[in-house]
Amino acid sequence: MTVEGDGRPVDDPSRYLLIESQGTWAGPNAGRFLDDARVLAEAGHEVRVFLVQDGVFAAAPGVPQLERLAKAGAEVWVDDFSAAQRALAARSLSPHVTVVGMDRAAELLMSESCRAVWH
Amino acid sequence: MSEYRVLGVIDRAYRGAVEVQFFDALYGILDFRAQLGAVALALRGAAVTLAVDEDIYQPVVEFGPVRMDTLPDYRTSVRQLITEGVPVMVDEPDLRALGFGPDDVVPGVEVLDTNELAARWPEYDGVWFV
Amino acid sequence: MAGTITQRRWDLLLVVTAAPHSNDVITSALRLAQSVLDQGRTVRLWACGYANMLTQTTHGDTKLINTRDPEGVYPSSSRVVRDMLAANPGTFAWIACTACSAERGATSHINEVRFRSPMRFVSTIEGADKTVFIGGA
Repeated sequence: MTVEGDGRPVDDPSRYLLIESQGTWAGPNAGRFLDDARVLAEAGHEVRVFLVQDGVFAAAPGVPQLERLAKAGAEVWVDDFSAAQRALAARSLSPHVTVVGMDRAAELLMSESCRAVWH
Repeated sequence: MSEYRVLGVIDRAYRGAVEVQFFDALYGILDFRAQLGAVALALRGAAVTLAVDEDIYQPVVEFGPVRMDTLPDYRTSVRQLITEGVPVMVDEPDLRALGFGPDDVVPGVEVLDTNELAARWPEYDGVWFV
Repeated sequence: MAGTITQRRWDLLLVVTAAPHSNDVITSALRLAQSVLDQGRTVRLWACGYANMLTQTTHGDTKLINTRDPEGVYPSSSRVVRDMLAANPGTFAWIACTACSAERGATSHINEVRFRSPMRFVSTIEGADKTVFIGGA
């Protein structure tokens, strides 16, 4: 059973895969999407954020949205191909993220009841 | 008609007046509405200004003797969406950051924090960042 | 006795509306499609907007000559799509939106691409168990 922020259980928690492809360096839109993820997680839904393309720049240490996501119980994944392409080694990324392959994202996407939102 | 329910989110706007003309994102929502069970629109980022009610902008441009009066007319499109019963929501923090308030938007547009709207995403079959 | 037509279902529909050459979105879409295919599932990709440029016959099989590597072979996007379709017969399909293609003068698609009017967009979504909408047109 998952609970809402005020302690009431969510009747039917959903599973979400939120894919962020834009960079926090490109403007505020990516950060707002990460805040969407936080709101979903705080509402009691199962949330995983998959950072892909320039979205992996949000995995740089110190990005405030990531800490808030972790606190809200969301998992943050970083696409290995995108990170390598941008010379972002796993050791240089935020401690709140996990580097994964596209196969992990695909597996979650195709799992039961998972809904994907791509930004 | 399908029962598929969609929340469309636009956070990038003004993607080409000359080449786009009527075929902008708002047209897409108007056009797909008939196929969908329900559709709602949320505007965020620079796209909040699509819903600002004004009468200064004329959708006309001239390149010497070439006159185009078929440029996108965003506020008319927003009014059309409202008239056709499509909920249109605009982000309050981004409006405020640009110096606008709830009184500045097209009548019928709902002003709210679109991050808080995310708690309602499960009500939709699809959330599309257009 | 009247028969019924059973529409086949697809596991995943990827709606790609973003333009090639803008960022890595096409690469990501194809990588995701392949990862789902690798699971033994079926994938359909609906190309909107400038994604319809990917499958134009005018590309030929190869990109223009790389002046720094004139003997090199660089496959065109239409060749990549054609090869992926050939490698996944019956499990991977590519749809070109007729309105977007016409809007962009991109109407010379390779033979392997199927055409659909936007009037069938939602029914195509309903023919898939999951849909991922990739915006950015």
